[in-house]
Amino acid sequence: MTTISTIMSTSLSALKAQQAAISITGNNVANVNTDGYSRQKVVISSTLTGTEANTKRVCDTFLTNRINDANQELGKYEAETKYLDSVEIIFDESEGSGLSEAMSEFWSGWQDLVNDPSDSSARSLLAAAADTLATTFNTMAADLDDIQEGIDDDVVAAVGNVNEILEQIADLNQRLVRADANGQDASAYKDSINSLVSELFSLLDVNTYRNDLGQTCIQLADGKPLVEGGTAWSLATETNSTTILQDITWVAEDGTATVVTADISGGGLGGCLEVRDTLIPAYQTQLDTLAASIMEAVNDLHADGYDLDGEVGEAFFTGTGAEDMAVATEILTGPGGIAAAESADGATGDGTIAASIAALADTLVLDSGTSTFSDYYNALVSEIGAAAKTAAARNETQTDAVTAMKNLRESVSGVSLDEETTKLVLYQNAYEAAAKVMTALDEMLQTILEM
Amino acid sequence: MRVTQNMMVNNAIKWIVKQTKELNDASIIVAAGKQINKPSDDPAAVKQILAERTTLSSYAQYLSNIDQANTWVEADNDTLERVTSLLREAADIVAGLDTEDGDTAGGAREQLESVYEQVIALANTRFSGNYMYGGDHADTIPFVDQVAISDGTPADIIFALADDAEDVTIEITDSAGTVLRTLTAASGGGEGDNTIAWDGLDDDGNLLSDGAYDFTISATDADGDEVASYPAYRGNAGKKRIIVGENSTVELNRDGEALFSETLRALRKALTALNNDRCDDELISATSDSLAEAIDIVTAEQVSLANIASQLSTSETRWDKLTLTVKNSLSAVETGSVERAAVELQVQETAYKVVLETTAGIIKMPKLSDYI
Repeated sequence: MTTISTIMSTSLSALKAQQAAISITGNNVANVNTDGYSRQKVVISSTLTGTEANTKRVCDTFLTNRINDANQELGKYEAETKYLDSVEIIFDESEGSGLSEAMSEFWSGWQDLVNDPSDSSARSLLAAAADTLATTFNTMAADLDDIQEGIDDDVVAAVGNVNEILEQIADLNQRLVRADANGQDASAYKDSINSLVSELFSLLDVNTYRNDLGQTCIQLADGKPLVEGGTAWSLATETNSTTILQDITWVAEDGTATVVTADISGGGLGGCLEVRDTLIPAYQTQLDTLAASIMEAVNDLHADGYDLDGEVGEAFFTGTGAEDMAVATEILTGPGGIAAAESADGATGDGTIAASIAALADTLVLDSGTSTFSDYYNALVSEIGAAAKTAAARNETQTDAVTAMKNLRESVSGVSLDEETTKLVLYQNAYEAAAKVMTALDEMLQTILEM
Repeated sequence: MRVTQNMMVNNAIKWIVKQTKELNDASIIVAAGKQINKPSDDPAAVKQILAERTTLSSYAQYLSNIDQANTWVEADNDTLERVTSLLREAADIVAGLDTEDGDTAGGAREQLESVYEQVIALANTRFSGNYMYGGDHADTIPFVDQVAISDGTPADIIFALADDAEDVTIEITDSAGTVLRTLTAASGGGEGDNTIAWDGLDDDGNLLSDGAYDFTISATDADGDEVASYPAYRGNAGKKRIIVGENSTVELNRDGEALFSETLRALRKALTALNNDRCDDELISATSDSLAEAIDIVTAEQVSLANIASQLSTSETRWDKLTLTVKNSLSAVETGSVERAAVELQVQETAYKVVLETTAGIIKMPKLSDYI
């Protein structure tokens, strides 16, 4: 049987429910621009004693995972683009002042010497052209090293970032369980964890899973734990004794560090490592091969020649690769030491050796006798250009993909102000109606009391 | 699909970023005047551009080589022209010799002496600091009776004789003509080049300082008659090389011995005979023959120079044409069409404006709350 007091408590529950609904709407509106926020839906249901409002976090796990994966690729391509763009600048020949030009000048210098083997200015110019060539090689090798070292710094910084995120996730995992135990709403923690996981994915490739308590656990690609419940492990860096670059290590509970560099292939760190450990070393090797081949070919012929004083030619270049390539000091200080002649007799007017060295420009020396020095270098520039172009294109595509997926997620979880406004008006009206019922009840009670 | 305001804003930002990049790319192309500004713009084209630049640079070098060679050929030809005319003059003098008339012989001798000196001077012509007819010995005077001491080491004394000699005396003098040392060749001298070692000492046994010393040769045969002596060729047969293309070299002759030694011998021999009043018809005819032969040699050399000049000119034309072709190809790849780039920039500017207008529309879009 219905009593006034039951109607009253029903109305009260209605007032409370509409108030809660308004509060949730308010929360949604407040977080309209919060990255990673999942809108909360008000679920109003009837109970024995009236009504109640519950919240439901609108979140699509599938989309979240897809975004994480997409972020991981984006992180990698972003890093690759960034570093390859820098590498590309080293090999920028657009102004015609790079290595290609230096090589041309060098070979031309030998032809000028053929024209007048005893001419001291031709000799000085050749020595200067050779010096420019060597210095250009040095600079390029040093610049590649610099980029490698710069990436190394970024690796260390990224590892620091990863550790910070891992700590935060472990902390939020603990809060999540506590909130659940206390019956509090843990939506905010879940959103924060999702955001952090997304950030982590953009840094490196990890696997995630939920444990029984609903906590997010994280492992490295090979299964080493990074976060389990409320516990976080950490990554560290140590100097590799061979490459003098930073290796990434996983630190176990007992403090022992295991090198995991090779297991990281995704995210920003994966991109760093790819450029630092695979691409740049490949470019360095090719640059070294080019420098060493030029030095060997020139020195071989030069040793068969005779200088202005009729002495046998000493080494023209010294060094072993692009980094330490140099013109022999004796030649820089005394270009008369350039051995242009074939024999000591007439060493002042014979340019046979110089002509042979000049002809090296067109000789197929590299790639098993299929490429000239220029061909080889041009192919290297083209290779680097292609790598930078591919990375940039992937970066662009992936950025689009991430935006598209974020929009999909936004479509499900994002807050629409118009929607919220509509609901606000709805709840407000319901609240007013419930209050009206209360007023009616009040008047009814007055009537009874006045009887 | 549910659409929120944020989705529209996200998309708008994406398009602004994209369009700004497109606009930037288009403006770089217009500003730089080049389609390709870094390797990643078009890796394949960059390879082609670099290869073509290298090609252009080598063509430029070939053209510069040819240019230098042309100057040489001109100087060479000019010198030989003058040698020919001197030799003709000498031939006329010799033909006009009257062995009976001492006076004419005296005049002829002076004229011949002058021709001889001029031929030697021409044989010792320098071109851009190098002796033209010394083979690979660019810094050694080809025809001179000189011996050098360098770093305390004396060179061998080299001289040439017109005939075999029984006694040969060499007087080494300083620049003032003072005799420093007198040497005698123990076994006399033979026709052609002779070499005698010198220890670098003067008559008092002191080592002379570094430098070039003149020497004079006095040679007599078994009958005590003077044997003509002339400077031995101190160069070699090395040719001048001109790289006119890949694996293509033109060689210029600069062998002074082949060109001048026989001439010098014939002239000196005639002069010695005139000096000693022993000029006869036999010598006149032999000298005339020798001079005629020398003229032939020099003329033949001029013909070969003309051939080389035409070869150089052919190469020059070829490289000039190819340079133009490669330049056009390079410009087509690298620069592209300026008009197209300008139009492209205009298109991108318009697109950018549209994106901005759209974005402004989105962010100014009315909200439901405006109407409540």
